[in-house]
Amino acid sequence: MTGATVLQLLLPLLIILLTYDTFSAERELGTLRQLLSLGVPPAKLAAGKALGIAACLGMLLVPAALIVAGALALSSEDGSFTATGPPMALLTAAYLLYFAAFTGVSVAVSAKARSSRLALLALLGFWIFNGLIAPKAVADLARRAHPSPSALEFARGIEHDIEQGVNGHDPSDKRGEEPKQRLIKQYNVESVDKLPVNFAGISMQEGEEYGNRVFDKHYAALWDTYERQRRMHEASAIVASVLAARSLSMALAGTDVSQHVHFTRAAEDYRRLINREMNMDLARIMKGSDYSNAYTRGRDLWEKIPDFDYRSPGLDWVMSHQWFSSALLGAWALLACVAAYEMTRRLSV
Amino acid sequence: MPQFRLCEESSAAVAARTLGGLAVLTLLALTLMAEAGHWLTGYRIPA
Amino acid sequence: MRTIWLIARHDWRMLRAERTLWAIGLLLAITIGYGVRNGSAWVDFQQRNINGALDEERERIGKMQRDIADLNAGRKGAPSSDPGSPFAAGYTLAARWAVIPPAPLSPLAIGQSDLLPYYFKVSLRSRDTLIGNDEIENPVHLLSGCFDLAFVIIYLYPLVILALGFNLISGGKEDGTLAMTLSQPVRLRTLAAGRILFRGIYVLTLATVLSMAGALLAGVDFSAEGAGVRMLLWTGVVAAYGAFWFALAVAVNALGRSSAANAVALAGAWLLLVLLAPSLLNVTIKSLHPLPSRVEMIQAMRVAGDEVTAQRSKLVAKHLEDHPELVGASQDTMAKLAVRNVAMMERMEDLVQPVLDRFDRQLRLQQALVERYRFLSPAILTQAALYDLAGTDALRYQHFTKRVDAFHKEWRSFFFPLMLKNVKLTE
Repeated sequence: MTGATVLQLLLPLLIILLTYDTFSAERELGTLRQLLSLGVPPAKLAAGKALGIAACLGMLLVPAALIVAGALALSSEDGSFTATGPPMALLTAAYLLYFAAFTGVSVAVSAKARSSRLALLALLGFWIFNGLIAPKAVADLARRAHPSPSALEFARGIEHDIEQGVNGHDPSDKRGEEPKQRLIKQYNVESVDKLPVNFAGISMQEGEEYGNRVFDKHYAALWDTYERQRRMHEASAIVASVLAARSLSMALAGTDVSQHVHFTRAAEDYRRLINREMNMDLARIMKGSDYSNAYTRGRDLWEKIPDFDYRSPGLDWVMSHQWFSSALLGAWALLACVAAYEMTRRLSV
Repeated sequence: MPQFRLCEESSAAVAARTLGGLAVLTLLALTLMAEAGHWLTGYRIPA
Repeated sequence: MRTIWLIARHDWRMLRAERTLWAIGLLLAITIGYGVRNGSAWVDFQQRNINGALDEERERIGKMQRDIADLNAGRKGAPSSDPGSPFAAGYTLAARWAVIPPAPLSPLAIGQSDLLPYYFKVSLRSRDTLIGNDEIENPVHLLSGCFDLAFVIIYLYPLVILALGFNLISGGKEDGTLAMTLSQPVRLRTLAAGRILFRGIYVLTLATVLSMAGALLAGVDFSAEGAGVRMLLWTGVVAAYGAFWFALAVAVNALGRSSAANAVALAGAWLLLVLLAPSLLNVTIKSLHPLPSRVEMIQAMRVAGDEVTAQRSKLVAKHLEDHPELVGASQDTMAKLAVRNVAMMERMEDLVQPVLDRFDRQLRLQQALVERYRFLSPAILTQAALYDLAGTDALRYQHFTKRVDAFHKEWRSFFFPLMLKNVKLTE
């Protein structure tokens, strides 16, 4: 359980419990007739009811948000808190839209339902579907529509491609032979032993590059599967707004799959850089086919390798992946408000 | 060459553990039901 | 007793007329069916992987045997490196898969089985279980969890019961029928009992029959050892859990509040017992006894690896000191290599042992807490029982991991003497 669980799951329930009898209780008590006879415009009536609930929630949320912001500011290093400002603002906006959608739906149902009992049952059903059923069901559907490979299949696919070649008829022993002949020709010597460069370094780098091609192919397929699954989750927010809220919240917190993939790509590039430097250094320093332990290097080689300097993608990169979720969340809030207005307009005693 | 053997816990051991949990659940339900029966005797019905 | 049956039958007619029964039956059937389908899809996936692993092993070992035979017979096309050497066999060629097959009732509850590894390749390399090997899965899916039968039983089934029971008595009070019924010679307790009896029988029958039917459709093998008993106990747990929620509904009704107040109180109880209690317990336990992270484990292994490599010759000398019988035998190059490997591996395992011990201790402390506090909520109790029956609880998988470690030791003590004496495998 995290702060996100409270905001995505428990607060909507609180909204429902505060709102479900907003009209139906008045109808049951008989005060609705009085209220309507005053001639209040329905938009004002709905907005007033919603504002009352918002004030209630605000009394709870605003101090909580201030405490959280304060805690973040205190725990952050110099200046990094200013960098978290814009995502925090967007996150707040996303949650406000999410809560607005729930409030709108609750007001609409309360105005429409024949009794408080039915309103409560319908809203609890909506909440359960939104928070409990939909995320699990969508995960299962996405898994079935775009299955990720099993760890075993994945490892075997990579092994197979490295041994047999990406195209299936380029076995690794043949691939090992080719650079040997090429180098012998290039340097015009009669055997590998006479090469002015170290063959082990060259051939390890060749193997590395071939492996990279294989990894790229397989990981590209895996990331593609994740991306398709993500799109399915994203589209499913049409039926369950929590999926849009969750997606935005993870993205803005920097804990979603897209940003994880972004990081692993950077880390992999860094690994390749180190390997290339090391292999090429071996190829340069040693000669011929000498594999002995005489190859030892000092600090200077390692100091040539730059530090791993990962920069997380900026806010615009993050949001460019989230426009659909943002749009859906906005649509949910808008439609819920329209529904609340329409239902209030048609309110009957 | 050695072979891997799992040697799982017997179903009887699992059953014994489950029966413990089941007994607690049943007891809870029965106590609650009996308690509710008592409360019902004092139930007031509006005229 | 006759009155109770009369009331139950009347209640049945009333609910049938309202179509509530159909709606509830349909809802349960759909969710249970979907849950069982997901569970059996997952079990099929696991089984496919296990079969794939075992096929791979059979193929590899078959090829190895053919290669050995070719080599011995001096046929051409024999491999250049010796497949019969204990090095090649023990490290790669003869490596065995250790797998934990899904239990007979596993399609009913996915439980922890989507998080815990269910196969390991055991060879002379360092223990695989130290790092764990995970299934490839989108983290978002792991976050959402699975929609299996256990989820339906623990989360949705109480809600169905509460929807049927929240206005058991208060409903009659509000529409005036209660006063009328009670003008007959019938006591309120009898009336409540009759209504509960009917609704209880209806829902419990639905839940148990549908789970049973689901299990049959999912291909649960009831002839397997203990499967029948487990299914019976599963049904018992489902019935007792349902009885608890019915009892709670009656108790809340007995307080004499309005239907709406009952609904809110019962929804609150559900929220507290089903949703909050388990996750709060989880959070508390994890913060009281945090497990060492995997990164810590990998880091410890890396540091140990560096240390072991640096002290290679010292370790070999020490190992020979401890095992004087090897001094004479270890003249041959292969045997020297074997001694070095054994010495390094043993030292490395000693070095990471503290992290492993800490992991085990924390895990034991966590489990002791769960064991004690699962009585806080019937939902936790039920979930533990259902996972246990389905064989997808963490304990079964831990037992498996321990067995794999033991097997790894056995494997080593089989191959190391062969490596030292450089005995060739002939079949």
